[in-house]
Amino acid sequence: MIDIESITKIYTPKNPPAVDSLELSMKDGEILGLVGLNGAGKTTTIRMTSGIILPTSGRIMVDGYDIVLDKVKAAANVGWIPELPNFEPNATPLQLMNYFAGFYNLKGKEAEERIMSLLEQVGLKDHLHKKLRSYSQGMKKRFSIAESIIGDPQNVMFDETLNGLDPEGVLFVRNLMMNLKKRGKAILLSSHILSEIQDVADRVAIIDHGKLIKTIKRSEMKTLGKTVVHVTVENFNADCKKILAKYGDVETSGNESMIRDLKIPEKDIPSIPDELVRSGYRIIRFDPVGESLEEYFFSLIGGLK
Amino acid sequence: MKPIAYEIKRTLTSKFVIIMIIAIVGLSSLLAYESASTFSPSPVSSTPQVNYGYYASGTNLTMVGYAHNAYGQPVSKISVYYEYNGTFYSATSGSSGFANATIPIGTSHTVNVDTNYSYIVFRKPISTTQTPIRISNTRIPSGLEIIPGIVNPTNTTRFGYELMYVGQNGTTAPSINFYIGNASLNASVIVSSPSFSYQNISGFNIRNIYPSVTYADHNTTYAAVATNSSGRIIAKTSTFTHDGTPLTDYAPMTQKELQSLVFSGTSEILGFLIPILAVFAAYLTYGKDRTSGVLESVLKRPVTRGSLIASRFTSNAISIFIAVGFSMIFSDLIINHYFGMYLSTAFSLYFVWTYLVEGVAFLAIVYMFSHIAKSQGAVLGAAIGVFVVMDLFWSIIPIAILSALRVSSSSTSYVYGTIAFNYASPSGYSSLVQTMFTDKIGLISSQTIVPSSFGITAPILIIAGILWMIIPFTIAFVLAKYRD
Repeated sequence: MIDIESITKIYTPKNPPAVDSLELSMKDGEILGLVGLNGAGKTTTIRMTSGIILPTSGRIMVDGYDIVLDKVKAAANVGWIPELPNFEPNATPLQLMNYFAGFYNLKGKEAEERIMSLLEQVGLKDHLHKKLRSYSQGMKKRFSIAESIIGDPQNVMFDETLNGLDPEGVLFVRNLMMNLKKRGKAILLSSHILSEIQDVADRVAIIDHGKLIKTIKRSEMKTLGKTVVHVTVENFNADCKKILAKYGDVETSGNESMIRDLKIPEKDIPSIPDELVRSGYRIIRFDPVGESLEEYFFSLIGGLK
Repeated sequence: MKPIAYEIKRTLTSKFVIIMIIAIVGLSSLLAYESASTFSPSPVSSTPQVNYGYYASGTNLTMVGYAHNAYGQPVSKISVYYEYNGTFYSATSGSSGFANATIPIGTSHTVNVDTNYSYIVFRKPISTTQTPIRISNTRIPSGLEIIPGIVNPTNTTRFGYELMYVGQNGTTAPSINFYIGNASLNASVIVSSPSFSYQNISGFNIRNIYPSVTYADHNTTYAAVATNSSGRIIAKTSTFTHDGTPLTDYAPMTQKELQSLVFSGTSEILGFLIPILAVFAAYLTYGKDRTSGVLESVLKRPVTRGSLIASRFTSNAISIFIAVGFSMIFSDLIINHYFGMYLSTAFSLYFVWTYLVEGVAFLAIVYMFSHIAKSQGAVLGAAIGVFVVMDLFWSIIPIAILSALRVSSSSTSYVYGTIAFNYASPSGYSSLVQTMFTDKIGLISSQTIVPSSFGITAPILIIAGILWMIIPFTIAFVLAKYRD
């Protein structure tokens, strides 16, 4: 469990804070999604939480230990998979894993077994003796996943980890997160792929300009913001679009339409399919839902729609 | 694996550190070898010499000239000139060293021949003055001549004799008994009494003899006597004590002399290469990793910023200690091989300490810049700058500044200024230690001073060394701890 208590990070006094009085918590057995535009402060927050950089003010408690004042105990419970992992280029994965294992007092057979198991899990078993400089970015990311959890930390942070991974890698990371969650670990996933976050996160924290804008629970994601209606009509034509337009703004793609900014109360939504049927249209799909996370995110931060 | 063990292994097995340690130990050993093997209390002359002999055949006189170096070895391409009755006859020595010329003398029994020779030094011909040779009986060849004082090529502190024999028609020597004895004795005693050295030789024109001598012989002068097979003396060197020659000028080396050898050899190479090892090892191990983000993969572990910088610094310092330590050991072994004695323990410890201070201080300065500069290029540039200014040109900077300030190089102010500059850079530290041991200061006009009068004493140097190691590292440590 990680509690971020009103942290602020100012890189240079000339510029606004990268992170501004941010309050956030990562709970055990939960996946927390962290979303925000570039420069919103996601990576700065993660780097402070990992002990890589120091907060200007505020504190970060990792399972009860301050990451600044009690770095050794706190960092033992944090795993961080950075967006662009960087390692000693002339080392082999085995050498580095042995080195890193030493920080967690993993020795001998125990260390060896753990290292081999992790490298096998991330699919690097056949590349153990290659120097890391010959690894592709995707392989480095896989290695980064392995080395970040070598100490079996209670809290794991994935910073844009899905970027640069092949579909197999994406699936692996998703399964890994679910597996860690099942084991009661606290997971943080920062990603630009909001649909991915929407699929796996129990909560999503939206940050902008270093501030927390909103935290959304999984139960709220189905009904985010305004309701939109997805309609698919078999014999769709211009007249059909005119009918739909009476109920709100219509976006059409083939015979699929989406009505936004409804002009009628939600309780009257069933009148839409009634009118379509009456007009002789055959409805394949009629689905009133909340906005997607992406749509909601942009509406919230006032960005592009 | 303990993280510190990995750090040390990583540093010591990096290509740069391996190459530098080999270069430092190899070059310092080479310089120690060069200094020790060529050291001679009296330098060996490089000027060639020519010895003369002669024999007559019919109406011709053959002048025999043997050109040799200080070791008695033949020298080629020496032009030898013989002048008889206003006519010059010349010959050039070949690989055997002989430069012979035939002079028509008719039936003369007594002739005077003037000789001289010339040789080339750096493409410039040098001629010797003329030496007259008076031959009273041309019918008798010059026979045996004993030339003392040739240098033993395997040990330049020892001397021997060159024997030159010119028989009729240039024939080689018959059986000859060669004696060496104390010059206070007369020749007949040397021949009849147990001699210092004796051997029977024959069949030579030139023979070099290096008698076996020890240090105990350095106070004795010797004479050489040769007899024919029937015991008649046919050649000798002077047997007066004051005209005799010593067979060795060996004197045991003093610690001061040994230390001077180290300062002029091993010290020079360490003063140049240890800072290179330090600044670039610091960049490769710490500065580059920090600015490229590699260090983050370690910093996210359960380790404090302080212990991370300390462990990397320690691993770098160990590589410097190994380079300096092995250089000292090999230099000492080489010196012992040539002079039969080791450097004193105190000097050896000071020496290792000096270059450890220099290396560690340079390490710490680059660690410090690693936390100030933001990019790899900036850190590398700073490392190079530190090396160029604080090591490469540091000995020249005070000279330039003091000259610009018109401070006389023979003034006390100049000495104080030089010493102040030496205290102001790690590279000056070795100069201070050298001054403490040799009483000499200055790069160009080396002056003798009383070091303690100018603040150069062992306790002050030790404190300065500790400060040079601690202050830059403490700054680097604080920056590492409190600055992103």
